[in-house]
Amino acid sequence: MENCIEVKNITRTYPQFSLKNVSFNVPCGSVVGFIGENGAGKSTTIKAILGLLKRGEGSITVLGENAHELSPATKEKIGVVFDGLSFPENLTVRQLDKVMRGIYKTWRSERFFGYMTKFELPLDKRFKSFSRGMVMRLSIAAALSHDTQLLILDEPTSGLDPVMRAEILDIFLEFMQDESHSILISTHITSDLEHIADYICFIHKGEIMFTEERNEMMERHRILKCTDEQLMRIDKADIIGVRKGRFQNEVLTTNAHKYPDIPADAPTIEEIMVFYVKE
Amino acid sequence: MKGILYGNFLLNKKWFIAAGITAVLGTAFCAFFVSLVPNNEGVVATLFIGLQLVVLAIIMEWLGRNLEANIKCRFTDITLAGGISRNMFVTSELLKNVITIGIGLVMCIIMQLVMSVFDRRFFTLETVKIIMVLASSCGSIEWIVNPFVIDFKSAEKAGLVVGLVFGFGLVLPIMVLCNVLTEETESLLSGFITLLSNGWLLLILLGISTALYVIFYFVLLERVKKGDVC
Repeated sequence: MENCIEVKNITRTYPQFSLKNVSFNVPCGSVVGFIGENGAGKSTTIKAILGLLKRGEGSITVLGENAHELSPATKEKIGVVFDGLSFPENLTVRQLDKVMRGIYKTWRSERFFGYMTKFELPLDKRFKSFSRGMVMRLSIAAALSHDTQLLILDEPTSGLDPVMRAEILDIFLEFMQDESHSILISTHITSDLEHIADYICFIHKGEIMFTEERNEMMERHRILKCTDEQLMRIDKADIIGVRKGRFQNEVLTTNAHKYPDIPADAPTIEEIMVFYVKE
Repeated sequence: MKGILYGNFLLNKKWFIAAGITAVLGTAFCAFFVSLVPNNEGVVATLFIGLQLVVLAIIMEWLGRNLEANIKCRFTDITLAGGISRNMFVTSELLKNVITIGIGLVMCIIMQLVMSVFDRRFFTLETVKIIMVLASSCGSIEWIVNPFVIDFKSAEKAGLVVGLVFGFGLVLPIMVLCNVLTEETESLLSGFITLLSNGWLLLILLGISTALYVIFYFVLLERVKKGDVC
């Protein structure tokens, strides 16, 4: 199997939002960072991938099966982390273990409690007293405590401090030590992806702007630092986005080689996203 | 499925405890009343049926609220994305309903047994049949609420809508019809209570509640299949 997730021409319409012909793949053994600003459609796309939205146009296959008809065996291989606490807040870790044992046939209690020790999470405290960092660690531990091959993460580091984010990203890197594992991680904190993503898929207002291999994307894009006169010389077709400043302008382009006299910097993922979004 | 049932019942045991306390206190009051004023069994009988319905109502209170809480925290999404199929999810909701009604029914029968110590007429085949049918009717009405809980994301709103529709659309006409058939005018409930001992009414109610369970199993399944549960 080349791709563990294949999304083809997904279109969904809601009263104030729509996904329009969303298509991208998650190659097996890779980490795909799914980026976009708040409200771009990341969470909606993830719900569609998990078969949690109504059927509509387009098709989605996950681990070779139709997302709306995933077999129980395939669902066992998917670990899901949503933003925030996704378990009843009055449960404790011990109780959650029993609940999850009844949901996943391949649930590993010893692995789950191992993560609890590693993450220093209390076993008998109710989740409603957990901090945000504790909640995310709990959710990730639960997602990794069955025979997970594919991790689908919706904003797993949102609201966390840099130290906690680094710790969680290390866990994902450890998960990827096994080449048969894959991750789809949706986030608006693009700096997290600089360390772990193999591919970047960018969604804006319900449409996919691009899906590229991360290094290639970083190599292709350049920010030209130009004066007003230089800006006038740049072909409009080469301009992805412009940021006008008091002393200089910044232009994002994939054709920096056409303008060797204009200084060019390598952008971060965040800068690429901002330039694409800016109108 | 076992996991969901375990978690849900564990988190909501307070409702079972509350129903138990109500059952004990209510039965004690009725027993005291019967032993104190023996010639008012009719009044106590009516009160006792009402008390059993209250016990059933308390014990079922958690069902809609629990579904709402699971939807709001997205635990329902986790279970549907995990090892639980849509059919299993709906079946687990049905089992929650049926097990809860079963426990409520047992409480009511124990109440009747206790009352029978003071007056044998409180525990007969008739009284057991009546409470079984009433329990299944209450359970089926609670079962109907579930698809609306998903749509409104609120157990209160869903209960209000179902209560209004069923209250005015079904229950009230049935009460009025019972009074007309029996020519009873004492209260809205009097005809219904008189007819409860009639086998036909019990069968009709049992038939209606069974049909509602079956129909709304598929209604709920279709709603879950439609997506956007959370």
